[in-house]
Amino acid sequence: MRTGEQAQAMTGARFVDPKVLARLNSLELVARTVVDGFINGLHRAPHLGFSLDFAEHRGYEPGDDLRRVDWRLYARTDRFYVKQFEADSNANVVVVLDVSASMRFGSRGMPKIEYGRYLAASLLYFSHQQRDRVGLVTFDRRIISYVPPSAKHLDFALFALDRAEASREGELAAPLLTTTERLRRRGIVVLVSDLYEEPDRVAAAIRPLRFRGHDVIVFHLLDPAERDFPFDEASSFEDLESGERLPVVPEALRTEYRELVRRHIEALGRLLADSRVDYALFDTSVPLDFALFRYLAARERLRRVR
Amino acid sequence: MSLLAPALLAGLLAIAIPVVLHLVQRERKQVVAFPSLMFLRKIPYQSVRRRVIRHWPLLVLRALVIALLVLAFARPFLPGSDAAAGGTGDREVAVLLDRSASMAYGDHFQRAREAARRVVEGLGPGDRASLVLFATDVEVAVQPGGDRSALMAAIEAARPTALGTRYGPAIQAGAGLLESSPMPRREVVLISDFQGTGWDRGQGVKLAPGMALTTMPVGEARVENAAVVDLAFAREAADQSGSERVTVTARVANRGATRIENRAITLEADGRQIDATEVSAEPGTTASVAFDPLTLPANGLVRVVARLAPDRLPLDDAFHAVLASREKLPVLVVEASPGQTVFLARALAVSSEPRFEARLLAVPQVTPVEIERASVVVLNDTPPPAGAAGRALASAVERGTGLLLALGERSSWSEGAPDLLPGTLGEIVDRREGRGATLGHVERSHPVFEVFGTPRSGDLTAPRILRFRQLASPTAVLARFDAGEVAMAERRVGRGRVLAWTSTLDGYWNDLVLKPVFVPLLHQAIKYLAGHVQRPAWHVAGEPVNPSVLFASAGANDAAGRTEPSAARVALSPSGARLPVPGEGSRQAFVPTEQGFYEIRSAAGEGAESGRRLLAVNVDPAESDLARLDPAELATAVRQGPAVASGGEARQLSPEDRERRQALWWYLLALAVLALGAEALLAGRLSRRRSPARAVSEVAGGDAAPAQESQRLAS
Repeated sequence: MRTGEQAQAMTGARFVDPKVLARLNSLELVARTVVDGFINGLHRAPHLGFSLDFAEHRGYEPGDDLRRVDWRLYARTDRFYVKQFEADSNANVVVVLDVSASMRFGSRGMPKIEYGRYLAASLLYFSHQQRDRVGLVTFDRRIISYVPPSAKHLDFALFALDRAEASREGELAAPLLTTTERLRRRGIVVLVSDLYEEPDRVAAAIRPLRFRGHDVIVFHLLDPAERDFPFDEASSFEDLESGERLPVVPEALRTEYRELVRRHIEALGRLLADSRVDYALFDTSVPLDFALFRYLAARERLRRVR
Repeated sequence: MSLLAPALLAGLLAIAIPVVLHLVQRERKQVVAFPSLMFLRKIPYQSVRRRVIRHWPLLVLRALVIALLVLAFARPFLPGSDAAAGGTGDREVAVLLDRSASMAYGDHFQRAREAARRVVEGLGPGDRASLVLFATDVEVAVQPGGDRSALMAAIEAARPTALGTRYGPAIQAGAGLLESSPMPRREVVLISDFQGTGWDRGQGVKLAPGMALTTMPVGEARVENAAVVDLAFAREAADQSGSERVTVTARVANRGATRIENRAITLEADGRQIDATEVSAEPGTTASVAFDPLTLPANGLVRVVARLAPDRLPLDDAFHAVLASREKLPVLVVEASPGQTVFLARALAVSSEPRFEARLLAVPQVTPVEIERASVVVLNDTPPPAGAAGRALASAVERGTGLLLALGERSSWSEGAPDLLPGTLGEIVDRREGRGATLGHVERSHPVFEVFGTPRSGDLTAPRILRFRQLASPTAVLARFDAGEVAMAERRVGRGRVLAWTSTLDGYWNDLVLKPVFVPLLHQAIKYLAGHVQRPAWHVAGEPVNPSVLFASAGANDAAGRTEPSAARVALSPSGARLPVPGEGSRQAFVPTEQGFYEIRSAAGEGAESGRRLLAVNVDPAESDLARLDPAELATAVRQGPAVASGGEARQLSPEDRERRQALWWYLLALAVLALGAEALLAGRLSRRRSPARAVSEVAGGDAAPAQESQRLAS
């Protein structure tokens, strides 16, 4: 993973420190700050994103809309071809944000819930700028708030984000299943969570979304302390969700812990890729616009390859 | 090492505070909120066990600081040896040796003498000592001096007495002996069984500052004792020969902690055993034993002894009493006409102690012989006898015979009559109009009326007086009617007393004779006029005997009449010693000190029965109660100034010595300060070492700044 200094060195990519973002109260302002900087930094990549770009021709089949027939090509080839585009110009973009109590954790000034909130706001704002319909789902073990996708729902979504509080135990399967049932029209679903469940259960929870034809992107948020386990004192570790305490001597198990986390991330990436789900790990110490840029750029590259 | 304030050692419990704080605070500070224990749970528990206390040196230092502070405040001091005690110079010692009756218990007195000998043997070459023997009395057996042999001899000669215990006067006497001593160290040594009944806490006895009190208890912690503490007599009517039958009941008290079972008890009369039986009593209770009745000879005295089988304190196992047949008080009632004195005669007949022997005569029948035989003469509504009888009456009254006058219609006092009337006889006052007169004022402090002094003891205002005689210029008025007229007046003639009741005693002029107050009033008046004194059956050793008991008319054993007051008397003690008895007018009281029977007889006519008295003397019943007093309590009570010790060697210390011995607390305090400094250094170092690593905290809110602040504070 690149560091903040590398991000700063990138042309046009403005460094937005999460600590600085945390001092901005308005989510819309935060989102605008992140996305504007992000767009400014992408002037050499004009095709990035969800657009009306032509993708390919395919042979006409009965039932296809005659308006999609490429008559020029018919004139040249005397065959019926239908034009296909990259994406719908007004796609549904729904951010599904995990607000379970574990998201409250933060070791360097910004808890994961804050980071996830800014990330969601930025994505929603960015999509709204592209005339996409935006929606929001927050959940812990059930759905907390649901803003249906609409071109006019950005404010509602931001308001719901602003009210989101991480206080209870979380679960993926049930809320995601409910979300799947509610989102009838295919679209882009962005899941923002710390994914504290076994990887196969995470994949199983996401799979219904995929089956409904949604393009699912998983943003896995982790605090640096969750990955590096930098604790020193022998302490009681309290589970933020269950309240359970466990006496721990950190230096004695740091290596094992890091190995377990590494395997967890690796398994998540593998299993989600198998389900054709985009997976991206976000470190909350990394600037938000840089993380966004890095991910979307990678996605664009993948799309072109595809 | 001892402590001035050992109670403060309870503060050592405060050592638990740092331990608890170490545990509790660690628990509180070291809780780290973590998103999920999912991965930690997968790691075997052996590697995540927690150490409870990590900074043992810090904990030990903190506990040490508390312990040192507590010890410093408890004010330790070094008792040290004699040489180190700083008590230098010669001693003046007053040895107080208890010789009360309770010291006769077991070998207590033997041990007390040995303790006294040890004190004398422990005297230095320049020391002086005195010996005080005490019970209820105090006797300085050996005056202050250096004569060891005199002290040893006096200790050897000391014996327990029948007297009670009083510590106050003894300590005062000891302090008095030390008061004028020039010696630098003065000490009172109290050797006793420390009987609880001997110490009066309110007495306020104090030793002078600088005097030490050493207590040497010789008593045993557990004592068993039973004692005869009382005798009661139930008299039966005298038979025709004049002798009485008396049933004696003894009360036995068990003052020990175990039950007495079938203890033998006997009753002796004049040395002969009358009855023998057994008694049982629970601890702390009393039991009564009734013996077979014994017959009292007419006009005789019987020495009665109830004797319990001896225990370890034999002194209180025998109880002595003098049993006399009831006294007879001859009363001559002179009446104007036969049958006039029916109420008076009936009232005199119901007497018991003493028994009134009333003789009723008309005025012409009164002879000088009759007057001489009577202790009291009553003139019931008659003029005084004339002629020889009149002169005999005046003479008898002069010598002590009492005269009661009931003034009625027939009373008259002619010019030639003897001058015995307490005033001038006046007219008859008729108060038949209305409700009649009542007694308005009574001298309740007078012996005649004192039995009516307590509430509900008789209503003197109940009698209605319809007529009475005026009595002008009365010598002394004892009672007045409601209008202020004289109801009763008194006059002393020589050794005799004259009482005048200004109404009659026949029921015509008043209804006094029908009222409940009549009989007691008449009895009191007769006894007062006869100078009768109730003589107790026994006395307690050490208590002064009322001289009137020794000299008053004794009825049975002195029926012939009154003895001359000037006659010198001696008392023969139970041990055979001849003791002078103070005269009747003397201010000095006679104090029997031995248990048994004292015989008091005339010094001139020794051997004659005339004037012979018997006194039964018993051990103070309080001596039977052997409950112990804490010697330390007594020592504390008499303490005045710091140089008082108890229970062993006591030495007077100079203020410098005392200060030097108690200076340990300064060192302890200094050590505590040093330990506190070390603790601060260590804690600071540990804190600095720990803070960089503790860079993790939980943030709950949306604002990062407070979270950072809390993180800084936490670290």
